[in-house]
Amino acid sequence: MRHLAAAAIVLLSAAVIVFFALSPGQGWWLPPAASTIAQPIDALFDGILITATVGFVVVMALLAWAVWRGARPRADRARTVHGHLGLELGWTAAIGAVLVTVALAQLPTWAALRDPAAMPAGGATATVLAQQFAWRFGHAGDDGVLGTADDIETASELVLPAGEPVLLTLRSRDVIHSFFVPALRVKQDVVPGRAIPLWFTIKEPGTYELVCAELCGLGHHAMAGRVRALSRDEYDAWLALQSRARLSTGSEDRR
Amino acid sequence: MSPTTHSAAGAAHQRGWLRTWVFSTDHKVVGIQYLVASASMLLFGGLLAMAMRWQLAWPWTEMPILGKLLFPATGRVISPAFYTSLFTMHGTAMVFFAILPLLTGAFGNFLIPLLVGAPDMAFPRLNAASFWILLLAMGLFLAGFFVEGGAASAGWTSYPPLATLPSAAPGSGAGQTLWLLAIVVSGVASILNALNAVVTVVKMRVPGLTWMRLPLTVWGLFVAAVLQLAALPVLTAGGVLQLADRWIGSAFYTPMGLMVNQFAPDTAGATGGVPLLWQHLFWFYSHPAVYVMVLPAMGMVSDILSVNARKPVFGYRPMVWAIAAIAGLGLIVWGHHMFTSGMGLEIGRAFMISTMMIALPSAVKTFNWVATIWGGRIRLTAAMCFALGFVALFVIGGLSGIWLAATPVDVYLHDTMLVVAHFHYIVFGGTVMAVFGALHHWFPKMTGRALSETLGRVHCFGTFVALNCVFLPMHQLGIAGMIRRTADPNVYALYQHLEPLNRFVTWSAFALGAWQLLFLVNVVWSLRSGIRVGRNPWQASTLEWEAPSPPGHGNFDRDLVVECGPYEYGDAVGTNDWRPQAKRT
Amino acid sequence: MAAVPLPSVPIPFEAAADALRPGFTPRAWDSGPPVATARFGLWVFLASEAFFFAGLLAAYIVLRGAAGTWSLPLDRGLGVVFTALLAACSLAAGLGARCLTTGARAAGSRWILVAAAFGAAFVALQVHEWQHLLQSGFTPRASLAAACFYVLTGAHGLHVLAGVVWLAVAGFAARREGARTLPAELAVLYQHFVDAVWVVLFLILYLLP
Ligand code: HEA
Ligand code: HEA
Ligand code: CUA
Ligand SMILES: [Cu+2]
Repeated sequence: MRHLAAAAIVLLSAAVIVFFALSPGQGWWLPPAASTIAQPIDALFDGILITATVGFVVVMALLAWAVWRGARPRADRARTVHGHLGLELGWTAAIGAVLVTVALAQLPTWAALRDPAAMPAGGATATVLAQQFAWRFGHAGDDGVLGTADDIETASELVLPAGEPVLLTLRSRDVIHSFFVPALRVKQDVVPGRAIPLWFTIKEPGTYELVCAELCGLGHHAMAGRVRALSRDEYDAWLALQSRARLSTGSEDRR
Repeated sequence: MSPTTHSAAGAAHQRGWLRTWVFSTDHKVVGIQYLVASASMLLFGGLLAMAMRWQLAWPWTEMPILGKLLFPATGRVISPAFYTSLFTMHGTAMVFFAILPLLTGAFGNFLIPLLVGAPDMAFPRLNAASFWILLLAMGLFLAGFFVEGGAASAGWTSYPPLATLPSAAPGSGAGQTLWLLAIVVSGVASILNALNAVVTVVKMRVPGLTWMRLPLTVWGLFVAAVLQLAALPVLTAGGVLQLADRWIGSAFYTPMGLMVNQFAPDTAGATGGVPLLWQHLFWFYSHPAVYVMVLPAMGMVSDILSVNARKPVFGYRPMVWAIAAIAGLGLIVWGHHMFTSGMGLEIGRAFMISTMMIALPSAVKTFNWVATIWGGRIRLTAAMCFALGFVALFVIGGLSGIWLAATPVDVYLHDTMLVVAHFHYIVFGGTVMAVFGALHHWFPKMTGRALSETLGRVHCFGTFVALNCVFLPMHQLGIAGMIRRTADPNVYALYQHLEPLNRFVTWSAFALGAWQLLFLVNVVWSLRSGIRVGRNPWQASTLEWEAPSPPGHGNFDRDLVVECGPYEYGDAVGTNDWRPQAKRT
Repeated sequence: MAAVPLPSVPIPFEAAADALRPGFTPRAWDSGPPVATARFGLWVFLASEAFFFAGLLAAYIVLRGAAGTWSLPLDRGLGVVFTALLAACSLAAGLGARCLTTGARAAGSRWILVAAAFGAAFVALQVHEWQHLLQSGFTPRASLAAACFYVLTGAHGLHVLAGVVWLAVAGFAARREGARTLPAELAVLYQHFVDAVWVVLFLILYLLP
């Protein structure tokens, strides 16, 4: 019995650690990081993973050992111990310190994500309009102003410049959606009735999948999109092309 | 108070089957009624989970046997709409109609009077009423499946406007209305139940049973009840507002100028409503609710560990303070469910720090549990195995909570399967394990017969292995970015390589579900031919073991006077290795 | 895995259930505080109720903060009348409770019935106000302010109604010699709470806008 019980705990811990260790190799892990904010976020992720692993191993080891020793047949009685103030204070302080450290470590990155002061001024901007179950995007046309008649409109593919901060404004037409690009480590709910800013810097040109992360109805699972990052000149070329296309066709897809 | 010289079973002859088992106001009978009802809901929720797992492993494929019964309309295939109803109803059934009633209703009712030496709850009729009201709520909840548009489908969190606009989702019509009614009604039941618990603990303790002599089970149930009384009314208020949006055309949660399915919802608020308001009201309750789902479990585990380690709970007072701290902090951390909702810098900061802090009392409890069994004389009864499992699995679930509490990391992990892994570890690996343990521990008191120890241990080990196979890989799914509430992960190229994991999880889930039947077998078998037990089969010191098994109406057959704490075990407590709380007369 | 191979302490599963002591009537103890259990229970319940209204008020504040315009075309005079009615109600109820505790049953139950009457008047007047407002186009869908008004006053009105019924029933029952007076006293306590809530509503709905 006691062999089983202690073994179960040890095996569980081993399994957890081994499985976590193998997962990156299998690709069952954070997708390749493609934005500048990704590094600090992944670092914090790893930091917590390590801290937690330490805590986990300690607790599990003590638990398994206590079971192993305690469950062996013997005739004498356990000592009547009601507690130990020193120990209590000790581990409270220790874990408290760990938690405070972990919390403080998050603050700079959180600020980089949310502090209005960190919001890029000028640079590339675009609007995101979420609706059941599709994404639509808007870029400033020749006049360089968003929300005017000559805006460039695209659907399901958001084209952005790489290597520089971009600022998106998220709106929803119906219910709550969530703008999630795993490779960029950004996620922002798109709340109807609000225009929510979101900013990040894509490192490399490339195409990254855009996922709707907030339940938005029966099509939620299929509300897919793409973010295509181009180099600055390619991006300018693309903009120019789009506006010309608009003028020639005179297409007016206003909503 | 009628004389207590007959067991509930004996009473049957005198008061008739109906009045004993159905229309009784005896706290033990009400508790068992709660147990049966909520266990059935656990089973039901589990079956829904099986259907979800089928879909996630083999999306849009015909479901073998059940498919024909369940969805003939869609050619034996789960439709996208039905999948959204599946997890909505699964989550709701499990949280509101299985786990909460199991702990506060079943164990709360059965144990509190016995553990404080009272003949019954403070308000027996109110108590019985609360059960019947809950049953009504369950009825409303299940009715959702049979109305036009199908059951509610906006998630157990029911975020508006998806939940409030019938045009936004099929389930947001009659189904959502029934869902809201069920939640509000079950809220009334929970309030009455919590009211009873609080008053009973405060007013009906036997002489000598001071606050610092209460078993931790009572502390857990008591504090959980206080949390219910404080937080639940706020959810009710939020629910009333959602019902108003549906019934009187108000627009509390619906902003201006929406276009849903090509037409604007006819809520012509001169000023638009605030969708996030619901999220705040909902989580103000539902975060504390998750601690309501764990504090009683923690209490019961503490008792089981101590009894079976033949050693006092280590650091009783710190344990009590930790429970209080978890409850207190629990009321100010709800924002951690909304980090990606557009929350401001400072508010996010504040909620993160308070959330991190709430890990501290949980850590204290964990270490005290380890210290409790440290150097004990451990009896690996089935109950003990489950209790140990609880500790191990709670730790895993808790630690993943730290990831989620860290705002920048949560921005990535929010609404991924990692969140699902997190809370299933705590809620199934933790609470449900504790419930099974508690059932093994107190079943003798409930029925006069013990559950089969052997079967119990087999069930425990199997469940332990299986649930790790189910919920451990969910972490990887989430870390790889797979979102939750998705009916088909393979839509995204990003997730396709996760298919093997998803299939493995599903097979494990089937195994887990099937394995649970062992428990039902055990219950049925033991009810008829389990070992008959005396008053105190575990040689435990708390008061319930002074009563006959099962206790008659009125519970005790002598006046109890408490003369020591609840955990007097070991070498320094007298001739035995345990000393009863109640003075021997 | 044999029966239960336990170390130091074998579990005496078979322990003979020692004989029950017949004819013993278990007692319910009172571990304080020194108030009737039912009264204490009502306190706890009212605390919970307070959280319900707090939730509604929090919602009111949030919505009002978010809204651009906020107009409540309410008749302050009427608001004063409402407040007066409930004040009178609480006063009469309080007197009634006092009489009951001092043993003056008849007077007590009379006062409490008077209180119930005042409460009933309040409800009636509120129904009238609602009709009036609804006809004047001030409907829940007209504006958030309107919706808030109806939900708040509606929730409160139902509480008053419950209080009225309770006061009437308990107050009437209390007149009979030998009947317990506690129910009536509890009804009074509940009514005090409901009236107190009104003061807040009066402030935010009728005075502040
Ligand atoms: C009983 C249920 C329960 C419990 C006890 C907890 C406990 C905790 N939960 Fe969990 N949680 C849920 C149920 C629960 N949760 C549910 C149902 C959801 C999802 C709702 C939904 O969206 O559907 C959720 C979601 C959830 C979120 C939102 C995630 C998101 O949607 O983005 C967050 C974020 O902070 C969180 C955090 C925590 C933390 C920090 C704890 C802490 O209390 C944990 C503390 C415990 C430990 C830390 C382990 C023991 C300590 C040690 C072993 C010492 C060593 C530790 C260190 C060195 C750090 N939880
Ligand atoms: C609170 C308790 C609880 C419990 C116990 C469970 C149990 C399980 N859950 Fe649950 N789950 C939730 C609460 C719970 N869940 C919530 C709140 C959500 C979020 C919903 C949402 O997104 O809106 C969720 C979502 C959720 C998802 C995510 C769906 C999605 O986002 O797409 C998945 C996927 O695998 C899942 C699977 C499972 C499985 C396999 C089990 C298995 O453990 C089930 C196995 C159990 C059984 C088969 C029944 C066994 C019981 C008996 C045999 C009776 C025993 C008798 C007594 C106890 C007396 N759950
Ligand atoms: Cu849009 Cu989910
Ligand atoms: Cu939470």
